Amino acid sequence: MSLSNPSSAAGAEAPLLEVENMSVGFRARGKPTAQAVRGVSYTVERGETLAIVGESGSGKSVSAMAMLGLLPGSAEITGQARLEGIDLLALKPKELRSYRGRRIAMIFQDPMTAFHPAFTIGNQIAETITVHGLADKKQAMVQAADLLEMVGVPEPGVRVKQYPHEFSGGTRQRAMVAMAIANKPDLLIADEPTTALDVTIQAQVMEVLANIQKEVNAALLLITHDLGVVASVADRVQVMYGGRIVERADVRPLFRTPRNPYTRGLLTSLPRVDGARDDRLIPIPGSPPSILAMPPGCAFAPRCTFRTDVCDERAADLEMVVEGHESRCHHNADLAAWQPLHSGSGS
Amino acid sequence: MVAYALRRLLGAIPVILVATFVMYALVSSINDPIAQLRQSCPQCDASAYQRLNDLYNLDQPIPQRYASWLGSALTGDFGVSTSMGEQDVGPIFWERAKNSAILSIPAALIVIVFSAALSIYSALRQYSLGDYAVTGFTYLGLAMPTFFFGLLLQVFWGIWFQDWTGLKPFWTGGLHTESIGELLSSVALPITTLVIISLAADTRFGRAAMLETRNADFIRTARAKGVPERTIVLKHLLRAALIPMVTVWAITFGTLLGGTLVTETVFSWPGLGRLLIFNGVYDGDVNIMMAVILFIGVITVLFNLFADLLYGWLDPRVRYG
Amino acid sequence: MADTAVGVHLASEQIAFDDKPQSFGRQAWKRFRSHKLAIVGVFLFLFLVLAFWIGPRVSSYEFDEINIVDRAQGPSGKHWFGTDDLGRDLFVRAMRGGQYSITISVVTGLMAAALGGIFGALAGYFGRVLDTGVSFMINCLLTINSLAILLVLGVKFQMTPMVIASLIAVLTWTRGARVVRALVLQFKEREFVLAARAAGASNLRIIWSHLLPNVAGALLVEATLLAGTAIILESTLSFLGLGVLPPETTLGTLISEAKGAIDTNPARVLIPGGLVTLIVLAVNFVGDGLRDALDPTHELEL
Repeated sequence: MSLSNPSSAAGAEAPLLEVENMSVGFRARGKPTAQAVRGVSYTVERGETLAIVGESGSGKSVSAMAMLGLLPGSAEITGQARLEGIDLLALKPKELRSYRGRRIAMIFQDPMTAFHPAFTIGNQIAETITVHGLADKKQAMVQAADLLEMVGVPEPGVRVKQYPHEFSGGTRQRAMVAMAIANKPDLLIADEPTTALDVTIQAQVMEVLANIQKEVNAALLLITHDLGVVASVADRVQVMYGGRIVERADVRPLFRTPRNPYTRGLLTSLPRVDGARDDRLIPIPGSPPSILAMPPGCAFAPRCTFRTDVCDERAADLEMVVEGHESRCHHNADLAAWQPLHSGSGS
Repeated sequence: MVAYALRRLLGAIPVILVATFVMYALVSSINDPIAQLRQSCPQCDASAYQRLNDLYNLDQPIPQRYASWLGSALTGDFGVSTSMGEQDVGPIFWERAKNSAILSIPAALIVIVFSAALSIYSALRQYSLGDYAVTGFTYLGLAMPTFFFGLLLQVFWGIWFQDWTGLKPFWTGGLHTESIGELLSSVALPITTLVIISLAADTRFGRAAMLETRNADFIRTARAKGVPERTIVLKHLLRAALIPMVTVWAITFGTLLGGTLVTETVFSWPGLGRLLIFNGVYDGDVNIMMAVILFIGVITVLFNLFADLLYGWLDPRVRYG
Repeated sequence: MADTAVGVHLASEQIAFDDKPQSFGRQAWKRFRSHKLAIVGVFLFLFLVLAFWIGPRVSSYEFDEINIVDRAQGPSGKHWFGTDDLGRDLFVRAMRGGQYSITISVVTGLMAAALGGIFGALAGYFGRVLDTGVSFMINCLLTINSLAILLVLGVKFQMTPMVIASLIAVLTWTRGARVVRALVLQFKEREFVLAARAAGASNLRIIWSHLLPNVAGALLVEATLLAGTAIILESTLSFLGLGVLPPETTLGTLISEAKGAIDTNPARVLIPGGLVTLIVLAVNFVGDGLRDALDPTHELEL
């Protein structure tokens, strides 16, 4: 999958979002610059769900936050992030603001802290609408109640007047979804949307999110480390490690025949509900690299069983291994013979 | 909320009773009017001592004396002064309280406005020159004893400024009420002195509250919604940081109303502080001391309660059950 | 995963990343060392201590040496800080006063921390009646402005530096007590305490060897900040004429004695006042550094 050329935008053919060679570094006095994201490129098509998977510190959240200008001032961002051909990173803060919450909306991890404690839920949803001048305050409050109803919050007329602390965790995250879709955005970015919730509620919220995404026909950029969530809702998956994309494929091939040693390690280290008894969990040895001291070569090399000298010297490129399946590894050719995982499961 | 306020108020009563009783016992055992009379009037006869006994119930034990003092104090009768020619303490007290309020109420309002402004500025422009100046000011303000700052103002405006310019725009002592101009000129320096210390403390607190709130998740949410930066600061940030700051302001208000002792001494201000120190402590006048101490106690308790109620009113998460 | 997470101090907009796990003490020391103001505070304090204790030895005057001929002079080569109304050398007197101010502050800080630690730990650990009692006592103390109490008591007591320090400590231990109480409440349900209790450790032993080490840092911070408060209270008390007895002196007493001469010789007020400010500044810098070192702000995970 190559990057489409923005100048050849043929209307409907062009992807919604094209991120090209984006890097994010953090300056720190007296310390080397921390490279959180290193040359990431990807596209998001209209209405699709792309999952970005990785551990803490892999750069998965940072790349999304950078796009919206939500990083602290010490962040140095290079590259491009084009929404329908317009580079968000080159916009003036004021212009970018008109995209936030309107064209691109964000759902945050912790619904406990993501709402302002002193304003009512309705007030906060309505603000998303009024701040872009799409309705007056009164209309926006009516819309807020409708939105709550859409995400399955009972008695929306009562709940709009309540404060965040009067909502349970799951309901609050539903309200967060309602707030995100208030202006029917083209792109939803969900950053670990279910991680802070009780396991029993995670699936419900995820279902609401997936349904509503279809309803408003928005693309979803799902940032998570939860592979279970990815398997159930994503169309495509890209795996990040050490600030780089290491593997990208449609969701089925990625889970069945992961081609990158890191992805494979990730998948075999996790228990499966439907897994056979003889499936053994194999943890990945070692720990992710410090973003202050990235290895010059492949970031995963120190933990990798396939490591050779070339891995320490330079990082591999992200190469197409099969149509629609890319992996960043010097040993792509050798690994092609890998057995698929869990060949029996697939439903 | 009303029920909560009432319960808190009831809970504060024993605290005030015990605190004032301990103070009454201390003050009464330290200051004995009989001994004072013996010293100041060696030739006085038994009838003079008898009069003193009757006036202050000196033949009774201290708990009973306290009870009768408290009984009258609650009706607004603070007893009779020993040091000021057996005058009623009440009128003197209220006159002095009014003079103190002339300083403390404007000072408290100034502290609130300026600490809010400085906190917002300092938090928004963190690490700017202005922020460093504000931080430096808070450190200096907290390190400088009140009386020393008052003396500094007197030296500057009373001596140096006059030497340079030949002008003396402010009174460096006393309350002058001949005209509005005179009044303003006489309150300027004492109010500045009162303001500085509280302003330093409250700004330091406010800046920290602002900085902490600035990094809160809900500020990021507001930004992600496309709320303009200005609205984020003036609506979201201020509303959240205001919750802890308002409580601090309420307490500052109480402290200033009850605690102008030092400033009044430096600026020879005829307020409660001077009444307590000069007429009360130095002259050993029990009823005067107790009137001021009771006042300070009640004000402190009331404003702490007020702070609590404000907190609950501003923060919907707090519910008084 | 959490220990390897990228920690970004949004507050300071700095990246913090710990490669190797370090002991809390070492990390705290590292944080304290990098706190510039705290280091300035330490050196300023040491400098003042040296000056106060060595200064009088360098000078050829005694602090109570009266010399009427040289009285009421401004600063000069002979008398660096000038002389007072009795012709006593103000440099030596300021150094002497500084010694007392610092001694009083250190003693007060220690005593108030001890009182606060004991009452706070007892109230937090045993709860119930003891907690109610201690809370009531704290409320009573907070109801009355401590300066007013000090003034009332000041007439009664022979003011020696130890008495002043004790009185201030008795009135200011409340803040430390509240901090310790809150921490003990939080720690006493933690696993290591429950384990100790299950192993049959006595209450006193649990408080002493399990809880106290965990509140020691917070208590140290409180003690330091209290030492600053103590210097201000002491000098205020002295200024109001209720300080140590002559011919002894503290910085506050020097200011009080110079009040009348403020028109003719403002330096007599400015020098001791400036010294008080410097001491408190140094102590507060150190206190802030300790607080930042012992109570690190949380890191925001990205």
